[in-house]
Amino acid sequence: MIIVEHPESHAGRGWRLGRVVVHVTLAVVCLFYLLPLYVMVVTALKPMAEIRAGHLLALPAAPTLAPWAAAWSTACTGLSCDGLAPGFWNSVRILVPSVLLSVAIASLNGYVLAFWRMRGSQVLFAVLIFGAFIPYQVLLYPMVMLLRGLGIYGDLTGLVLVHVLLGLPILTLLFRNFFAGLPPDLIHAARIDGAGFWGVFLRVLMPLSAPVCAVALMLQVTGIWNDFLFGIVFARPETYPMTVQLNNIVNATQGVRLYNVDMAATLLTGLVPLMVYVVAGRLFLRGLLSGAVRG
Amino acid sequence: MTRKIFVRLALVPAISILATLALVSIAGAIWFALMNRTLRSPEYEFVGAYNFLRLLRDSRFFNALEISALWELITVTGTLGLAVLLSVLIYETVQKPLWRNVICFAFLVPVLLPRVAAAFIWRFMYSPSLGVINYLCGLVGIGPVEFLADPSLALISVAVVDIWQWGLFFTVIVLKLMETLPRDPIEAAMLDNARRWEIHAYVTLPMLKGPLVSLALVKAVESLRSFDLIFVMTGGGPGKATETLDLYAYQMGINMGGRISYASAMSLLLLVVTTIAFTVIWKAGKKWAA
Repeated sequence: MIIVEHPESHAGRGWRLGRVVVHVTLAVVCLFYLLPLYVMVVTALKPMAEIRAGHLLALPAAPTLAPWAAAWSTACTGLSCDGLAPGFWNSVRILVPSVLLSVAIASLNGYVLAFWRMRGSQVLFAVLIFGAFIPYQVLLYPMVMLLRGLGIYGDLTGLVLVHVLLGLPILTLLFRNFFAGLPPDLIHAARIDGAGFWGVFLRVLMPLSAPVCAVALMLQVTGIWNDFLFGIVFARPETYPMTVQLNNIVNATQGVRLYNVDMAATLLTGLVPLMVYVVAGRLFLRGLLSGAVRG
Repeated sequence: MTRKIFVRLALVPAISILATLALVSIAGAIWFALMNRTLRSPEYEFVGAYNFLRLLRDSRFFNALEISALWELITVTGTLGLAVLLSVLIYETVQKPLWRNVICFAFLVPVLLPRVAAAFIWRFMYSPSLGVINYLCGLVGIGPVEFLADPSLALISVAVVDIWQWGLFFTVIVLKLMETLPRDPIEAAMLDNARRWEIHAYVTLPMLKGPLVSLALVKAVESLRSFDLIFVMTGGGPGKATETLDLYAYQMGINMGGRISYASAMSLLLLVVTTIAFTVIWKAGKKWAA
């Protein structure tokens, strides 16, 4: 026997139960998403007494910025008690040149690969993809030896070099794909108007590249600022970036564990990528969809 | 100077940089792997395939291989599972563009945090004495759970943090991809009286197979780089329960005695295994999506 379901039954009990399931799921996800961020912010604003008393989810009864100040300038690592500040400045000194250099070189590479066909560009393309996906572990030890050979192991220069090198493959692919997707007529027209190699690049392409530049910028800022592995491998205590400094503060063994200072330090470390995102986020979302995720 | 020469000259720095990166590094890794070099002592000699042969008898290496495979499996399926489920739910329940934009904007916050930062937040939340999660568990009568110290829970507990960062980010991408789909097949399905979940299971998600396979690959590559998260949360412990290949290679190469030759051999094997595995899975995925 064939049971023919009545169309209206969809609006009946089964559908209402479905709605309950949907909303419960959404509530759980909301909690999953928000709880860590909430705990971080709230804990960073509480005095330790409140945390020890077990008021873990409550809003701070006496909000204080003292943990923030401590995290910034007086928190102790195993070695010194200067807080996060030295790490912050090291990270800035690593971030700015690495981002500028890698975006500049990658956009130029992408331009050449997309428009100026030459022998070997297919091979280069394959090397790029390989470079983008290679596990960092493989590069680690040869890099250590390379930097030692150059005499910049442990220096900020060395870290900048590593970040530029490792950022190039993925950024070059990003720019190449973006440029290759532009109408060729655009370049032909500019060439007829007398624009040369640099003219096409600087006056025609770069002004169009705001979204893809935003993606490149976000990738590099978050990638470099958030890096931890290269920081511990390629830096020494005076050149530790902020993430490594954060790790050393939170994991410092002496004394009582100050959760509020730990959380303030965590928050401060995450603030830079978040701020860049707030400024460039809209462009980033647009750029992300205009080519970065096309398989 | 002709244009062609000029263009080639412009490429010289780029190519030399890439050559340094890809070729010299890999050549260097192979070179080291054939020696018995350490960071401690300047003396070394060639030992041929000795490091590779010893790896094949190293049970800790195979444990790390297994943990890495498990880590890949849990984080990739978890991230994509959450992203698909959540983007369908948001697609169905949130209609106003403004709210969708707010959600998209907010869901990107976790992935922007340094993994080290995410690790510390969650480590605090998992804490048996002052952690929020155990506090909530206590409210429903579940005694303090040692999320990071229990070998059977540790890997999952760390993976949750990874999924928190990446699953919500991928939700945004999948949602945006769903919005770009043509409306006609969806409306046809609605006319045929399909249920909402049927529309997604049989119409919208199959149309997204290709991008989903790409996203899975991106996540798989990204998961290989989760060193900092695991390192900070458990350091590979308890015991060896969360020791992936990255961690083992780091312990060997940097922490314990700086045995960089052995670590190089290990990372080369990792490179070979992942290249083969990803190529096979990628081809199969493309075939399935086509």
